[in-house]
Amino acid sequence: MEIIKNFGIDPILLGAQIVNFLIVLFILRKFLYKPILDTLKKRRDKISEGLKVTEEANVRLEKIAKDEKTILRNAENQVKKLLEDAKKEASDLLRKAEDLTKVKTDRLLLEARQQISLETREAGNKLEKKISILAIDFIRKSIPSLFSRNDQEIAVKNVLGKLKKIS
Amino acid sequence: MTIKLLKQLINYSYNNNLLNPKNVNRIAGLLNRSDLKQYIRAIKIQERKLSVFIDVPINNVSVKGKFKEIFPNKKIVWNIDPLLMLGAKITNDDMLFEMNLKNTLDKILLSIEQDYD
Repeated sequence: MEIIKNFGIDPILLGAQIVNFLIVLFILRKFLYKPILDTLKKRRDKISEGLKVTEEANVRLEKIAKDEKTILRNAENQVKKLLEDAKKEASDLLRKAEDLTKVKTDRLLLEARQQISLETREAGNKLEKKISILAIDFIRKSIPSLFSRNDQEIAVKNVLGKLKKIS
Repeated sequence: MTIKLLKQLINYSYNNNLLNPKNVNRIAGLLNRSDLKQYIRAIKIQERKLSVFIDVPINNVSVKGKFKEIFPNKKIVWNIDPLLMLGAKITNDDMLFEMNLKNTLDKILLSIEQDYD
């Protein structure tokens, strides 16, 4: 006790200071620390929530990027498939058109051949007719001079013989 | 004019299958215009019935007599047609006997024209 007094410490004052300190501590704790701590907690929570959201967003972003890649790959595949289908279809159409053209050409060719054949036959017939008529005309004009009176007499006698047979 | 009367007039106009011009002239003088037309037409028909028309390519055929034998009661009318070759054309009333080169050529020509048309 003596020592404490030597150091200048008054126990009553110390007790009062302790009480004061406790009162101040209580007040600070009640009105200052708690709201600050609450605010800090809220802020920590918010930050934590923000980080979580960011993490989720990153995850979602990654997923979206992955999905995008998948979609792009799918789209690319679809486009490739479409292109292949289109090429195949175009090829089929071309082949069909070629086949159709060939059929049409063949038919036209056949018709043309038939027409040519018909016209050739007709021309041949006309020519035969002309030649025959010319030949007969030629005979008509050339033959009379070839027969003598005697030939004509024989022919008339021949007619007479036939006439006798009939009558 | 009746057909019967026309036949009588035709009979009267012919003597032994030969036309009697004297009788014909007499009848013609008695007929009016339309009857005369009928009479002439009937005479023409009768003439054709009593005649044989023979077309030959040459004149003075040596077998003329033989044709007379075939058509004893008919008047033979000769006609020269140089276009008839190697044969003759005989018209007896409505019968036609044609055997000559011209006819053959005509038939061939007709056949050709029919075949190619």
